[in-house]
Amino acid sequence: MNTDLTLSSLSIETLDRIRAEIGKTRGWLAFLAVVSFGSTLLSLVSILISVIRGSGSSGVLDILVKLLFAGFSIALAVFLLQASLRGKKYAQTGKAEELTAYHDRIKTYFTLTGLLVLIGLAVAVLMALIGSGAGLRG
Amino acid sequence: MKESELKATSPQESPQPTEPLSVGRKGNLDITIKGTRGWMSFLGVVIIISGALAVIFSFLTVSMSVLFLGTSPGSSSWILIVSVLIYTGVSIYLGVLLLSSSSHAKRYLKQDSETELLKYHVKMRIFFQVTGIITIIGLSVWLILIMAFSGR
Repeated sequence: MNTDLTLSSLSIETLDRIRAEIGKTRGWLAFLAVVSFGSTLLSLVSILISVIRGSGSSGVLDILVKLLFAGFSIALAVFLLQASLRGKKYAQTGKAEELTAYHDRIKTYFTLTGLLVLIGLAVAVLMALIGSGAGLRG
Repeated sequence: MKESELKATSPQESPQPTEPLSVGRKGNLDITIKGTRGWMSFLGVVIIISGALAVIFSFLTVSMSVLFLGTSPGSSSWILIVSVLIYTGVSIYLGVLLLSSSSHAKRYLKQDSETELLKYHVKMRIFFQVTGIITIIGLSVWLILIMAFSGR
């Protein structure tokens, strides 16, 4: 508790400027979250239509992978929206806890995006290996 | 009291003062930024490589058809090259923004410099701003294409 009462070396002027920057960023974060929600909803509708129609090309695995990616992009959009809300609160109130909460959400967003990219790259490499193996045998 | 003076002193117009950061909270902030910057630089590198690969593959596709089929590049090839070049330019810019944001975070953590922390926030703001503007342009192009093709 004692350390929490001691003030850090960060000046109020710098914190004010950071607050202004976060105030400008949060609108774009909310916009990107809304677009992400919208595009995920559209892709979910298209999956639903293909399931109802029973389109031959999309198998169960294909649909499951699409649903998994839709889930991940909704999670990303939620973290962006939460970051935007925390950023808005920090821009309005200037409370230190809102600044750390904003950074927590941003960190989760980048971590999840990075993990998704890693998984995507691993799947692509695996597919290429399987494809080249099948090509050699065929 | 005049109306303008009332406006100036109203709580809505004057924002609350910024709360100073305690040592404990700054420590938490530093840990969070440290966790973010690694993923930022990884994504920056991936975005730059994807842009470079796109331009290499598009040139290969066009040059293969020219070399092996002996056909001159048609209008569709030029559209492909120009759109891939735009994509590459934007990708490299976004990747560089992420890398520079990450390096400012690294310098802030190393030197405890306020300026670097501010620059980290500025670069992050520009990154999300550019991503948003590109999304708006992409959505507009998508809508125009849908309207053009549905009108046929």
